[in-house]
This record gives sequence, C-alpha cells and structure tokens, in this order.
Amino acid sequence: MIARTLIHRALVVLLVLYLVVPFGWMVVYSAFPSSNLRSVRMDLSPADLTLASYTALLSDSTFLVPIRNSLIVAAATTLICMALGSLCAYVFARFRFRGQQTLLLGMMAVQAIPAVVLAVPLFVLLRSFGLYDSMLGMILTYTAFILPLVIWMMVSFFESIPVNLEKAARVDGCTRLGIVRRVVLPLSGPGLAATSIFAFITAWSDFFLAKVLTSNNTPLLPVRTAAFQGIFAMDYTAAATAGVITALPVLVLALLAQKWIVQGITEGAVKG
Amino acid sequence: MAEIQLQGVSKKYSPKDERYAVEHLTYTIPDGSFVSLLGPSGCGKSTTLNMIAGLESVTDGSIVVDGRAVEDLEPHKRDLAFVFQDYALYPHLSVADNIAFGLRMRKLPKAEIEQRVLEAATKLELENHLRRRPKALSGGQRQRVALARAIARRPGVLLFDEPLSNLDALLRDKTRAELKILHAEIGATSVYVTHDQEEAMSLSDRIAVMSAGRLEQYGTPAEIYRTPATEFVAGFVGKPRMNIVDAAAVGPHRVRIEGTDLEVDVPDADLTGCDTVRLGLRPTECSLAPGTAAEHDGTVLVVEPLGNATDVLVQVADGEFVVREPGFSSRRPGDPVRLDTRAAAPHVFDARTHQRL
Amino acid sequence: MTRRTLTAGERGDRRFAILAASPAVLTIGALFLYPLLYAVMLSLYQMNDKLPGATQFVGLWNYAQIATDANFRQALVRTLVFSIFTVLGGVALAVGIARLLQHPFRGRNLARVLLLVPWAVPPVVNGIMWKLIFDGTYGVANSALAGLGLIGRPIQWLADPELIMGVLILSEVWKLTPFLALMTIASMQAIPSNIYRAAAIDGAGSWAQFWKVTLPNLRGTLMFLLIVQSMWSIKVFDTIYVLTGGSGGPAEATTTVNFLAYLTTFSYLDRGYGAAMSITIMGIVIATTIFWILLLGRRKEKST
Repeated sequence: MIARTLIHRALVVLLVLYLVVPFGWMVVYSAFPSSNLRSVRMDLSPADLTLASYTALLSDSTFLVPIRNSLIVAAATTLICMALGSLCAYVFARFRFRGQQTLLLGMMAVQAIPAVVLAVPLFVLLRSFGLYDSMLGMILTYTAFILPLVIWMMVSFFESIPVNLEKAARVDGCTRLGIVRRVVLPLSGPGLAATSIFAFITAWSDFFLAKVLTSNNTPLLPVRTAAFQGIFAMDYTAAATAGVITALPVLVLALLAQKWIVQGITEGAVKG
Repeated sequence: MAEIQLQGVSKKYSPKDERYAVEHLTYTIPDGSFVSLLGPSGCGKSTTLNMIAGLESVTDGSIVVDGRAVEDLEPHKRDLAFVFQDYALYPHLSVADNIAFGLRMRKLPKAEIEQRVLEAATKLELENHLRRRPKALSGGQRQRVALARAIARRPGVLLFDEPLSNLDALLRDKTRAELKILHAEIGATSVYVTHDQEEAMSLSDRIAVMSAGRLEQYGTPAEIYRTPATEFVAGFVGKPRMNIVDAAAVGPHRVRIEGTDLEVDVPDADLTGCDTVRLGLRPTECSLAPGTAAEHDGTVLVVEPLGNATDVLVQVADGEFVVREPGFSSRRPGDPVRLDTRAAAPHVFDARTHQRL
Repeated sequence: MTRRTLTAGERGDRRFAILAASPAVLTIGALFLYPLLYAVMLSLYQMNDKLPGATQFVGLWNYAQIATDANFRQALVRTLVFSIFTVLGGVALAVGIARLLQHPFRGRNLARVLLLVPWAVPPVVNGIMWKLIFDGTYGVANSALAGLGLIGRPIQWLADPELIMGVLILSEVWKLTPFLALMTIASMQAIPSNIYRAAAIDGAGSWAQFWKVTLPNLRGTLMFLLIVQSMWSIKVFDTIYVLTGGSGGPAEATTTVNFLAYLTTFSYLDRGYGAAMSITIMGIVIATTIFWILLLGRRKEKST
C-alpha cells in the first residue's frame, strides 16, 4: 500500500516537472546574459540574473508594435466572435430546422481543414479588397476561422440550460431576445468565459495565417517572435525572451480562468 | 376570470407525420373551476396544457378563453400563469426577483410590484426568504416560490404541470391540501396535469381522463369513479386497481365470470346481442368467504397487510383477482376461498370498443 | 379548420432565428466557403508564379501528379509515422495522466491546473522552447547529459534526420496531451461511482476496475480524442517551422505533408499544385476521421 502511494507520488512529481520544466527553462534562459549560456557547461549562478533582455526588447519599437497589433486583433476578434457566435449558437441550440445536424457537423469539420488550403485564396481575396496586411483583414480572417469553434462550444453550453426556464420566461412575457438577455446569458457565465479565452488564445497564437497575410504594415507578434530564429543565425536569448513575452498573456489568462475552462471542458466532454 | 373551451383541438407530432399527439379534444372548463388532466405518460395531457399555454401550437381546432380564440396568441398575451414540474426558477435571481419577473415584464409600477410580491410571498409563507437564491431553498420551498410567482400575476387561468411529482410523499400530501385552500382563495380557473389519480380526485371539480391522445371521459370525480365511461377509466381510477375480467353474457342482465361458475347481476346494462364482455368489480366492494377444496372460486396467492386493510390476491380461473379486506386478514396463501360480489357495483364494458354498456 | 400558417409567436421566433444566425453564417460562408471553393478551382489549374505564362486549366492532372510524386509519398510516410506516435502515444499518455489524477490527493488541483500550461503556450513558442532544449550547440539537453557524464560529444538533435523527428514528436505530445488528459478526466468523473462499487463487490481489484469499467465507458471520449489529435497532428506547422528554421528539417526529415504543401505553395510558388496538395490533405484528414469512427463508433445503440 505504501509502495503504491510512493510510486503515485513520484509519478505526480514527474508529471508536474514534465509540465512545467520546458517552459520554465525558457524563462530561465531569458534571464541570463547570453554569454553565460554559450558553452556546454552553462553558468547559472543566480548573481547573474538579469532582465536586460526584456528591457532591450520592450524598448524596441519593432517588437512593441507587433505586441500592440496582436492585442488589438485578438481582442477584436474575440468580441466579434462571441457576439455573433453566441447568438448563432443559441439558434442552433433551441430551434429545430432542416439541415441543422449537417451544419453543426460542418462547424466541426472546419477543424479538419488545414490552413494552407485557404492561404492563397485568402491572400487573393484580401488583396482584392485592399485588406492585405491590415488589422481589419486579420480580424476578419480570424473571425471566420474562430466562429465555428465558438458556435460549437456555446451550443453545448446553451443546451445545458433547462428549457423550462425559457418557457417560464415566455409565459412571463419575454421576447426571444429578452430571454437571451435576461435568462440565458446570465446563466452562461462559465461557458462564455471559457469560450472567450479559447477564442483569444487561438487568435493571439496564430502563426501561419499571420505570416502569409501580413507584412511590414501590420506585423503580428508570433511572426516577429519566430523571426528571431533562422537557419543561419539565432539570437537565442532574444528568442527566449520573445517566447516568454508571447506566451505570458495567454498563460496568465488560462491560469486565471482555469476554473471556467475546466468546467467548460467538463461539460463538453460529458456531452460527447 | 375565464372559462376555457377546447373545440376539436388536435396536434400532430409534426406536419408530415400523420399521427396525432392529441386528437379532437372538445370540452369546457367552467370559470373558476379546478380541472385535472389525468392519464399515464405519453397520453397527451402535457401537450394539451402546453397548447392552452401557447407553448406549443395547435394543428387543428380552437381554444377559446373568456370568449376569445387564443390559438394564435403568444403565451404572455393570454393572461395565464404556469407552474412547472421542475419549478423553473431563475437561478441567478433572488426569490423576490423571481416572483417579480413577470410583473416587471408587464411594466407594472414599482410600488405595485413590491406590494404584490409581498402579498404572494406571505400567502405562501415565504416572507423570510425573499432575499435568498433558489439553490439555498429546499424542494418544498422552491415549489412555493413557483406558486408565488404564478399567483402574483393574478392571472385568469392557472396551469400546473405535475407540480408535486418532485416532492417526497409526505410533503406531497401536505402541499396538496394547501393547493386546495389556495385555489379556494384565489379562484382562478385552474388546469392541472397529473398521472396520480388520487391527486386528481382530491383536488378537482372535474377530471379529464386521457389516453393515447384521446379524451376517455370528462366528468366530476364522483362520475368518474362511480360510472367510468370506458374500460381504461375504470382501470385507471381507484386504488387498488379495479378488477377487470372476461365474462360471458348469460342473459340480458347477467354475466358469468369466465372459468368459474360465479354469476353477477348487472341490472343497469343491456346485454342483448353480446357474447363476451369485460366486467369490472372494485376490490374494496368485494369480500371473501372461506371455501373448501371441493367448492371454491379461487385460491389465495398473496396476502399484503396494509394496516387498516389487507389486499388479498386470489387466483380465479386463469387470472388474478384482488380483494381488499378490512383490518388484518386471516387468509393464508393456498387457502381456497369463495368470492362474494353481491355488494359490488358492477361495470360492464364492450369487449371490442371498451365502452360502457 | 386546419391551420397551415404559423402563429404570431412562431413567426416572430422564425424572424429572430434568421436574424440571429445570419451574421455568423454569412461571415463563415464569405471568408471560409468561398476561399475553399476558390482553392478547389485553383487546384484544377497549373499555376506557377515562376512560370507566369504557362497558367492553364488542367483538370485533375495535378491530383494525378500527386499520386506519383515521390516527395509527397515520403512526406506522407513521415506524417504517418509522426501521427502514429503522437496520436496513439498522446492518447495513451492522456489516459495514464487522467488515471494518475483520478482520485483525490493533496495537490491534485494544482496538478490539474498545471495541465493547462502546455495547452496555453502558443505553438510558435513551443517550437522555441524545444529548440532551446535540444539545440546541438546551445541546448540544455546536451549540457545536462554532458554534465552527467553520459555523452562525450554534443548530440546534434536537430541536425540528425532521425533524432529531429523524435524531438518533434515530443514537442507535439507535450503540447497537446495535457488537454486530452483534461477531457479524459472530465469524462471519467461522469462515470457513476456506483458502478465501481458494484465491480468491487463482484471482486474486481483496482486494475481490473480500470480495464473493465473505466475504459469501456470512455469509448466515446477516446474516439473523439483520437479524431481530434489525428487532425491536429496532420496540421502541425508552427513547431516544424521554428525547429527547422523554415526548411522542413535536415534532409526534409520533418517535412510532413502539410509542411510540404506550404513549401510548394510559398517557396516553390507552384500555386496550383500546392492547392491540389492541400485539398488532398484535407481528404486525408476526413478519411482518418471516418476510419476512427468506423473502428470505434457506436455499433450497437443499446450499450451500457
């Protein structure tokens, strides 16, 4: 019995290390001057800890601008997706109509499409509307990609709200919109939170579409971060720093809202 | 105050489906009365209630409330209140806000809303809970909030969808009595859906018994109990369940139970032209006498003592027959017994149409 | 009098439904479906930016080319190898992690929260992370191994065609398995505890309970996880890009079909062919999904 508990404990510790160490290492790497880390024997004396790399990057406008752009694009995308997606999801959840199952399945099938399929067409499409390499263009693109995800997630949340509540509201005199506003939305807090964070993380983290559809005008953070490495030269410390900065917002968001996210996954899993 | 008339009301499951969930219901619910829709699961009683409420559409026919045809009106325009089986309280609102919700939707002045909320809450002994949320309340309290929400609206019509089925047995009986008092005080026309025939009998002025989408009988509790119009009603209403057996007609007013030589007089039925019929006898109206191995109508199978009475299950011919004896019985399984049906009111039904003869 | 028209309430409802759902549906249609159709069209053309004059309609010729393309076939093999390890390994690991965290213990909540860390890390950063660890010259893996005296010379993880695939698999499993574990945990908790008690009374020890009770009840979730992870594995891009500096790996060791499609379209600028390849990949993803559904789908509706 004791042996089993010991093994269990050991495995859990291993798990935690496995989860935390890779990212932790990158943080550590970014906090030492690169000279310490150049040799095979690395010098990790705490006395040398420094935030120099961070101050360097954060005072560099070619780095700050992508941060700002990514923030705006991700936030705007999230807002639009949540607004349009939730309304649409409500319709899917509560109304029966022809082709409903197919549409819903289609939303999921969208996940199957590799972005590379749409890269060139989107390029051409955005170009023709003058939206290439623009914030609006990226917001629209991300919205199209993230909407199916939002709808898919919110449908299952809405379905978990008892229908009788809405019937009671109808008898009490609510219009459909009123029901959504007064009954459904207040009760969807965790679902809305989890889905919003999902959407934000997805939009913020995208690399491929950002690379293809933007250039010098509207640089986005993941692209800028990836540019720190190349086949021939790589500023590892700067790359590490950029990596931490890129990951930090979404990490913080995820950990703050972890209760909702886990709840959201739980409800989705039970349904599946 | 409102009288409800159903005129040929029908509902199909879906436009393309030929089957009816509810078929051609026609009856009138008098103003201020308490009417139950009684029947087993799936008989269409909830569908009917939803149609009266406007939560489901009517395929055929018309519903007239207080002289106005309402099938086309939205629920909140019909001046009715609905009490749900699972109470459907808004979890994010306090008890007071729950009760006030419908009043706010109707844009009543704030002072009046407060007054009505307090009035309804007091009537249902909820004054001390107005600030609390539904999840902090017990099942019985939540049920009362649902009731308070309904009566605060002062509706002309009150609709109930099996409101007591989620309560435990003791609470159910207590609440039943309270409901009856409440109805007497409020006086709104009430339509009550239930599958529990005791509930229907004790609460209603009239009962509409339904089965498979059709109306089996519409009448007062006394009528339904004493003169069930169909075999279904006879078997459904009354506890313990009425014994219904096959019988052969041996004269214009006499039948013999199949497989025995027990004969029963049926003065109120005309059996000319009938061959076999269905005979119904209530367990509480029959009695047993000890028999002998040579002369008996049946053998005791099971004896179930209940306290004030005993249900004795007797094997008669190929079937089972239940007799309720007062007090504790001395019968034992295996005893041969004679069946005495002279005190029982007989109910005879056509074997094919199941209608009362 | 039979009513064929709708009640006022139902008409209002219908109006609401259409108004509420259209913006989303229209947006998806315009920015998703339309480009998709465009891509299909494109795949039927020979269009190469390096040969501008030669653009012409070629029907299914591109697809026929793919069938005989050795590069594509090799990329397909690599993708298959990669997917088998990530999908099967990932799901197995997820179930293992879920089992580990199934019963309450001190610190369990912390462990569960930490499961979100890999999920939240952007894929690009994931690539940088693992590059920092496994880089031949500056990676900490080599430092640690050398420090422990296990190796004499630094191992060129990222330059060795065979090793880099391992690194890629590790990075993908690290990133996505925890999320799968979370879903598995959620599904496990949905299994009523009474079933375990019944099994215990029937004599099943904790291991047997896992095999006979937990796993069968997870079938739906597992199928979902396998499908989703398969999709993700085929679509992997960012990590490959960062780990290989945009090249696809030493001797193309990590060029999966998805990456190959990217190279074809954006490096070799062969747009038409690239489009055909992308659509083929889409077909592969759908085929894989159908494969899993057929294999594990609910064949009998009356299950436990």
